Amino acid sequence: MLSKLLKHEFRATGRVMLPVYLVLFLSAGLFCLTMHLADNYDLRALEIFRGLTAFVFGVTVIGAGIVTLALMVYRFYKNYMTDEGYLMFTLPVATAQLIWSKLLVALVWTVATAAAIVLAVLLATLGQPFWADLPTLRELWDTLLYYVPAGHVAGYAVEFVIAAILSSLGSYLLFYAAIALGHSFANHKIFLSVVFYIAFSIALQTVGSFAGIYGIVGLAENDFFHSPTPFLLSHYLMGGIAVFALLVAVVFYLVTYFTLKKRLNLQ
Amino acid sequence: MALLQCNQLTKYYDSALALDHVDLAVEPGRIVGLLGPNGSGKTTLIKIANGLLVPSSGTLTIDGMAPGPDTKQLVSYLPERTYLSDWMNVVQLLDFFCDFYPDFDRSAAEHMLTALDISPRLRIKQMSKGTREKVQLILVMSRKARLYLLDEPIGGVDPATRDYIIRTILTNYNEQASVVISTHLIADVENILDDVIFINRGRVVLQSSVDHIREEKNCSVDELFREVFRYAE
Repeated sequence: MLSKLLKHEFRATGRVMLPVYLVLFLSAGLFCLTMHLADNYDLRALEIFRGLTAFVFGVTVIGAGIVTLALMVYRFYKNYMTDEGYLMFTLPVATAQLIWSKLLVALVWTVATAAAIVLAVLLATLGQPFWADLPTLRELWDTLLYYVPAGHVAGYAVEFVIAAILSSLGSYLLFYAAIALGHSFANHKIFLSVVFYIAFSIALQTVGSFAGIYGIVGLAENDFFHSPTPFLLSHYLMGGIAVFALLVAVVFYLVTYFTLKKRLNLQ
Repeated sequence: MALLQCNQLTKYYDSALALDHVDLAVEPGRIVGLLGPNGSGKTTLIKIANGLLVPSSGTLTIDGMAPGPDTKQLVSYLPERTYLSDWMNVVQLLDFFCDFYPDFDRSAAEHMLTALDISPRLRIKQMSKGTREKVQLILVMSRKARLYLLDEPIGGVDPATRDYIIRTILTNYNEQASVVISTHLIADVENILDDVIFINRGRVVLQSSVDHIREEKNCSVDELFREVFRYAE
């Protein structure tokens, strides 16, 4: 049943996300084109046009990020907390599947948007002097590998991806938990959702700051870590961040799950 | 075994009592009218049966099971509001119901859509309120479910459509299935009901077969309802 939920969620979100990517690539292409024209023809109008397309491209890049986040949060609200919830919560599926379907689709589109923005920037800067400097990037990479063993570099990359995925899940689950809790009350549902979001964010910041400070101090002072290599220390740090992100995601998942399961209160 | 059974079912909204120790049973193969004035607890009862609300105390079971994914497979539910995503068209909705409900009869749904002159390419957004209600009822009644829970199925439509809907309900449910219709438009559904449950202020005040009412009390359900729920003057 999860696969069917995913299929329909992709259908519901794809009709917005695909046009967003289309606009993103179009504006990147347009920017690239006007850059070349302005470089090759000395015309005031082209200069202005270049400025304009640069602005439009910047707005679409930021817009793509905002639309992705906003749509994923809106889908949870609209599909589960408004009248549409009467259909979704009476489907023969488990509550966990309802949460995971939204979460996995949100994660996929988040990754896709990040990839699309990178591609769009590459497209926009195609043929620019930046590309001629690529050998320098290569040298930087070689220098990095000279000082840091390749195994550690690969390790950091894996740790970074895991931490990024977990904190992305946690960010969405923070929204879901706040919306689910806010809508479990009889009145002021949206207002309470915002209040819960702010409260959860403050709590998260506080706990995160303490965990961060004590974590670093602990790493530095604890005999268990005496004279660890700087590489190893960085792994502990990255690992600590990933574990914290995992805990955050689990907590907000449980809040969302039990609220939908026990306190569902559709208008 | 009763298809739908409530034992001492109680529901509070904060401190307001919506259902007060309700005991009732719906046997297979019956069309039951759940009748009561506005705010009497009809919708609360139906929402609990669909797992949309959790009871404060007492139990409700469907085919012996508490509401959950297993019971949702047996129940076809028509809420008293439109729950369809407005960007979807009729074909997409049929796909959706086919995917999630193995008992959904697509050809029956398409047949009814044609009969009511509803274009499959029409988006929900483009439909009138009445048409949306018709589409929703067609989807719900095209399932070969064990229990149909219909909350105010005829509230917002014209009398001709009302007749069609009542005929649809009659022709689409099978012998082993039960239908619970919640409404306060009693005269319109009276002729198809086997049993009635009167509910008022969260309490069941009467559960009886329609034949019994006609024979014993010598009146129609509509008349009895007016009698039972008469306001003091």
